Amino acid sequence: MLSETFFVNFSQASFLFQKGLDSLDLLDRLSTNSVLRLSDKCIRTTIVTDEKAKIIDVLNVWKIDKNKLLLESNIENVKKLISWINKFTIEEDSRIQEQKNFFKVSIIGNDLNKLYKFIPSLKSTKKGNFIEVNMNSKRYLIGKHELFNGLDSIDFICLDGESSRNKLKKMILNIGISEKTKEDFELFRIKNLIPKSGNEIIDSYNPLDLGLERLIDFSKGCYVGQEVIARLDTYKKVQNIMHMIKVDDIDSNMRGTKITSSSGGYAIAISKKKFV
Amino acid sequence: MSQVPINTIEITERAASKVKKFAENEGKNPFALKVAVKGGGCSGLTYDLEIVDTPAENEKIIKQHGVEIRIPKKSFIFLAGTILDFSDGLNGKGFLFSNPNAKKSCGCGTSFSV
Repeated sequence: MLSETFFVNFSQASFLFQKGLDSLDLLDRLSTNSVLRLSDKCIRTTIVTDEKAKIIDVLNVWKIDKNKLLLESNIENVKKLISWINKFTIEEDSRIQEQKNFFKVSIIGNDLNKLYKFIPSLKSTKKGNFIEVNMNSKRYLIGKHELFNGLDSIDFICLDGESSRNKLKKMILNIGISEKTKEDFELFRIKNLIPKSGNEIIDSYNPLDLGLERLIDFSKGCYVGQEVIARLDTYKKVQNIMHMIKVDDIDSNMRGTKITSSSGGYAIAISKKKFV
Repeated sequence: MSQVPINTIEITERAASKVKKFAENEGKNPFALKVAVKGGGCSGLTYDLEIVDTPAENEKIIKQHGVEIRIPKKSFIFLAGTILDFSDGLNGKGFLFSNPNAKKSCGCGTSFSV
């Protein structure tokens, strides 16, 4: 349980609308988690992988209705994601539209009573669901979800313009929740082993290398990369492990280890298991 | 198995007979077999078979062994020259695709990459 409650501005988030009746079916065939039966107003994280099970992107899927999904990607991977989905869109009713004007802010922590007083309908919202709210004439999707390591978060996505970002931040500050700076959040992320696009979430690794088993449905059936992931899991052949180390402990002779992130004296390393 | 010209696909008599039985079970008459390709499956592309009764636009139509085969033109790019067969029995694998465009296939044989 976290001892602090704070908010963070995800300036790297990138958004796409996926429209069309085959959108969920297509996404289900291209990613690790089961999204086919996702209900309206629900969020699920899934991982799009290539044929060798290397990561294309880890994305949050917000199901607005049967004809419209909001895909939350990252500026590091979004072009590759669009190209990958389009590559496999053959006969399907599915169209991708990049949304440049959206932004995301998340609240992380457990002290949420003040937030619930401000947005009462959020209190009864279950984890994995979201609501649509109008605040100051701007439309927001507010969801109870989680970070990639499973820590609970409350995610605000504004659909009405980047210019509202400061207003939202001010509103959250006014209810007594402070902002974690980019640098402080980077240290938090490293200490909590939350993989990040461009650092750990890259096509050198598969989801199991990054400990993302919880985002894989091993019983859902075929998707691109499924055979490789199933084999790695069944035969315990995962080569890498993601772990946190102190920068002072980094030794130039560490074989098979790559430092992928570092901040405030701590680092995320991905090491060959046989050398750990 | 003989080579199929790349401007068509071929269905074996055994597969055609099975398709007719499926159509009868579904109560569709007249019927056609739609053969398409979808994104997904372990190797990237997966075969999709469906008994249909209404024609769609932009389909290539082939008739063999009393079965009308309809192939969406976008899918035909991936299927040209394919032989569709059927493997029966307890250890049979059902419909089998022998696709000259497939560079790799997954273990279960229902998906491929080009």
